[in-house]
Amino acid sequence: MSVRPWCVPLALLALAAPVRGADAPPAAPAAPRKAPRPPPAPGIHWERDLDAALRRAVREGRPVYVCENGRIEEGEAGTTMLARAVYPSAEVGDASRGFVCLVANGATHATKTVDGEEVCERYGTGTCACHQAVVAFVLERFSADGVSIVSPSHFLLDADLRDVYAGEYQQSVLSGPALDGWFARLSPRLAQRRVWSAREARTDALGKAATKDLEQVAATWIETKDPWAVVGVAATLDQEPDVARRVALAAALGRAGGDATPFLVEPLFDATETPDAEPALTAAWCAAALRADPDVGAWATARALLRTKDDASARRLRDAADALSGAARARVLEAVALRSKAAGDLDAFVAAATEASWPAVRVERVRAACGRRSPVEFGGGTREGRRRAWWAATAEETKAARALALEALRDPAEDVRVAAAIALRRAGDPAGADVLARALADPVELPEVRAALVALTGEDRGDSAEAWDEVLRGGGAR
Amino acid sequence: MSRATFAVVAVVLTSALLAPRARAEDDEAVRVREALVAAARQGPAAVGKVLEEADALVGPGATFPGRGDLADWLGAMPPAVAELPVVRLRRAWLYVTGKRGADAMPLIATALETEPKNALLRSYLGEAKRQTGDVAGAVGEWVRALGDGATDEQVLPSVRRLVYDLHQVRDKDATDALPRYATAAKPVLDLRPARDVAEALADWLFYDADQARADAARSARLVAEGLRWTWAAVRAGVPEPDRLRLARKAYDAGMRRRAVVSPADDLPSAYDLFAQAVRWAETGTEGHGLPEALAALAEEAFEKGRYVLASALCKRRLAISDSPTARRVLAQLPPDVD
Repeated sequence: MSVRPWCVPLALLALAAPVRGADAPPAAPAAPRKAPRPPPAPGIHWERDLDAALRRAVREGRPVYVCENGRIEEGEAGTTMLARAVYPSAEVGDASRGFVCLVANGATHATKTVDGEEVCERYGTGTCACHQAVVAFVLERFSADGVSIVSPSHFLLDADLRDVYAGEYQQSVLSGPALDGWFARLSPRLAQRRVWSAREARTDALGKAATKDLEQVAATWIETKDPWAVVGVAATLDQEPDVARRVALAAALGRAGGDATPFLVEPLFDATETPDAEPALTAAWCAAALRADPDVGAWATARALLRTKDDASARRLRDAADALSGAARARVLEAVALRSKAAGDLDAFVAAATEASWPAVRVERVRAACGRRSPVEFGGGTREGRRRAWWAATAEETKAARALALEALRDPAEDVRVAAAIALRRAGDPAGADVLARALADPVELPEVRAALVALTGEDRGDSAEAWDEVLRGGGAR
Repeated sequence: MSRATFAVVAVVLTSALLAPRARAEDDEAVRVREALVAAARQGPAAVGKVLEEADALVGPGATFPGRGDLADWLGAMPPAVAELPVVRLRRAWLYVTGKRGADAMPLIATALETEPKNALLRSYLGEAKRQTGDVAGAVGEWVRALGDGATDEQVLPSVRRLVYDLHQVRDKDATDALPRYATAAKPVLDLRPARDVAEALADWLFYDADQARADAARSARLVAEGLRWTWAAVRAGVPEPDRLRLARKAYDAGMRRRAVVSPADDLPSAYDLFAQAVRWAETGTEGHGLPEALAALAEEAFEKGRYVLASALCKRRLAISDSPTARRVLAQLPPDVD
C-alpha cells in the first residue's frame, strides 16, 4: 500500500503532537534522529557508473533508457530543451524510476555535492565520467559509421541488453506514458510490483469488485488504454486466491491483445505443467492466451493437452486448434501427435509443420517419439561433425551407429562428443562414460545429459557425476 | 695558456669525449677483464661465472650504460677470451637484450651452425631478426624454435612485442587486407596459443572494425578475424580471475557473430561463443555472472533443436530476473519439454 502525498505532513504532525496524558510516566530520552531525507529530486536520475548500471539492469531485470545529449555543449536547441525541460520533469522522472537511465555527453562539467555525493552539475545526478563513458557505448552500439551519431537520440535496451527502441532527434524522446508502456512490456514483474502505487485507486476498485462484475471492471480499465491497466489486472490476478475471480481476471487479460503477452508466459508455463490441478483455471488461461496472442495460446494449449490425464479436457483443448492456422495450428497438432502417437495425427502435424516451415529437427523428434525413428533429445546442427553425431544417434542400424558414435567421441566439439556418448549409453555401450562424467560438471551440457540419464533410468540422481557413475559405466538402466 | 698547450689539452679532451665508453675502463672493469683472462685458462664454467659478475658493470653510473656496450667490450677482449663460445653466446644475449639484434645475428648464426637444434639460440635469432624489422624471418625462427622444443618463456615475450609494435604502426598497413598485427604472429600462436595475445588482438580488431564501419567489407573482415582470436582466447583453460572478463568477451563476440551475414566455415558459431560465456561466468550458485548469456545461449540452443537445454537456460535466466528473450524462447518450446 502506498502513502498518498497529502498523508505525509499529517503523519509528521501526528508524530509531533503530545499523545501522552498529563500524568503519563516520563518518556525515555529519545535517540537522536537523523534529519529526514529530502524527497528525491524530480526528473530522471542518471547513473554514476556505466558498467555497474548495465550489470544492475540485467541482475534486476530493468530496461535501460539511453539519452544522447552531447550537442547541448554547442547550445543546440533540441538537446538543450530536453536537458532543461523534459528530463528533469516530474512526469518523465516518475515514469523512468524503474529504468536504468544513462545520458551521453562527452564534456566535463563542474560538480556539486548532493546528499554527500559528488554529481555532475549539468545533469544534477550521475557523474561526468559516466556520461562520457556512455558516449563510447552509444557510438559502439548505435552509430552507423562507428564515429558519429545524431544528437539528440534516444535508445531503449531490455534487461538482456538487447536494443528494443532507437529514435533520432528530439521527437524521439519518450513521454511518461510511453515509458510506462515500455516498462510494462519489458519488465512485467517489476511493473506488477509498482502498479499498486501507480494506480492505487484502480487496483483497489478491482479488488473490491464483485466476482460477477470482475471481468467487466477489468476489461473496462483495459479499454482505457492506460499502460498500467494490463499490469494492474495481471498483478491482481497474481495475488488473487479465489479460482472464480482468477478465471474472470484471466478472461479480461485475454481482451488486452499483445500487451498481455509478457504477463502470460510464466503463469501459463506453471498452469500447464499440472493442468488437472485447476482445470477451469487452466482452460481460462489457455482461452485468454489464445485470444491475446494465438502463438502463445497455442503453445499453452499444446502443453496442457499433452499433460492432462482427462480425455474430455484434451478433446476440448484440441478443438481449439480448429480455429488456428499456420505455426499456431502446428503447435497444437504437435501435442496431439505426441499424445496419441497415431499415424493420422502424426501426418496432420507433419502437414501443418511443413506449411509453417518448421525446423526439420522438430518434426524429426516428433516422428521419433511416435516410433518412426530412434529417440533424439539433442539437435543436429549444421557442421559435418555434428551431423555425423546426430545421425549416429538416430541411425537404426546399430553397428553403423556405433562406429559413427565412437568416431564422434573424438570430435573437437564438446556437444558432438556428448551427443555421441548419450547415443552410445542409450544403446548400452559405456564407451562414452568419461565424456558424460565431464558433461555432468558442465553447466551447458548438464541439462541434456541429466535428462537423458533420467529417461534411461527412470530416476533423477541429481547433477553429481559420482551419483551417476554406476549408470555411466553401463548399469542402472531400466 | 700557450697556443701549443691549449692544442694539446683540446686534443686530449676531444679524445676523451669521443673515445668509446667501453674503453673507458674503471677499476671494476679492469678487475673483470683480468678475471676473465684468468678464467679463460680454467674453462668455460669459470668464464661463465665471471661473465655473470660482469653484468654489474652495466647500468646508470656504472661502467657501461647499456648491455650492448658490455657486449662490444667483451668482443674487444683478447682472442683467448673473445673467441670462447660461452663469451660469444653471452655477447649475443647482451646484444639481443640491449636491442641490438643486428650485432647479435652473426654471433647466433655461428653458434647455430654447431648446434642447429638449440631452441634457445633459435629463439634469440628470432628476436634479433624482429629487432632488425625482419618480421617474417623472426616468425620463421620462432616456429622452428618451438619445433625444437623452445618453452613459452623463450618465445612468447618476443611475440608479444612484435604484435604490440605492429599494432602501433597499423595505420601504415594496407586497408584491403587484414592488419599485420593480426596475422604476422599467427604461425607461432597456432603452435603455442597465448590467451593474452589473442584477447588483445580480438579487442584491437573489433575496435578497428567499429571505426571502419563506413567500409563494410573491411569492417566485416576485421570482425571475422576478431571472432577467430576471441575463440582462441576463450575456448579452453581460462584461469579463475580472468573468467568473468573473458565470459563477457565471448558474449560480446557471440552478438557480433550473429550479425555476420556470410560466415566462413572456420568462424566459431554464436552457439559456441555463448556456451563459453555461460561456462566462464558460472558461479556455482543459482545465480550467474552473466545472465544475458543464459538467454542468448537459450536462443541458439532452441535454433539447434536442443530444447531441453534451451528450457533449462530459460528457467535459470528467469529465476534471476525479467528477461524478454528467455520468455520468448520458453513460449516456443515443444509441448513435451518441461
